[in-house]
Amino acid sequence: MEDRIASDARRVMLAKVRQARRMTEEARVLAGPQLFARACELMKEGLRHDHPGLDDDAIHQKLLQCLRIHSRLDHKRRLPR
Amino acid sequence: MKHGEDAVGALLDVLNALGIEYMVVGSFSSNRYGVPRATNDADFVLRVIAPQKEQLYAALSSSFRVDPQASFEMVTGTWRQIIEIPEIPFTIELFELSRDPHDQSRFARRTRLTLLSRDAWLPTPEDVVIQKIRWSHAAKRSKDFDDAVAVMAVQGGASLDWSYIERWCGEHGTLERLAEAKAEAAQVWEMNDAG
Repeated sequence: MEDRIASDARRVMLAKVRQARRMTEEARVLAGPQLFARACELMKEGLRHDHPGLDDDAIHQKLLQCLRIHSRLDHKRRLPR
Repeated sequence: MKHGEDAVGALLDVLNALGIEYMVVGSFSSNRYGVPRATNDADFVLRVIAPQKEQLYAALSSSFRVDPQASFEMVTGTWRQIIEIPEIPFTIELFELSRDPHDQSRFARRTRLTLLSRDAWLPTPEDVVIQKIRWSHAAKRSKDFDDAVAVMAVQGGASLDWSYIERWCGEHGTLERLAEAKAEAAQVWEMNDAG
């Protein structure tokens, strides 16, 4: 089973590399923030579901709160770039 | 300002206009050379003197919220400034160029490319690999290791200067980590070559 998982993971990575090679360098750069924006939209949908009484500004503040928690966890272990 | 790339583009325009020496590092550089992943921050290394910092902050629009508390980076003993764009949300971190030998080397080797349709300075793919391997070793973060593998995989084994990479990984004590990452990238090269 572990061999199968490892093999599947390598195939997925190969597909991602091939896709990246087909993209222009500019498209690769743009993909980063665009993927994050999409993830934020999905998070907001979840927050709206959990907090149906909140308006857009309040939902945005909750999103920022979630991101701050994540950022604190990340920064604890970071070196400068 | 609606998107992270708008913020990065606006900052690039200001840095270029002011003639401040910089390079774009972190996920923007690894995304350019490797497999892109989601990111909500951009990192810049600057070689800058105090008056230029004030000019920089003055030139940024009101969408940029400069953290009034610039921090002192303990590891390198340099200045670090966080800039937030809360409406997006997106964060930009500015790091002063340190005296660390590899930091100096990668800054000297930075290359001018097109990023977000404008001129921008970036490290070479070799220096991105070296730095990502260094972070993954010191900070134990899997995403840095994955980024290093992705850059190697996309760039290809033949195009990278391995003697340069290995020399710096030797200095940093990360040769073993590099070998692990290269072995993973090599699996992709082999599968790709096999069709």
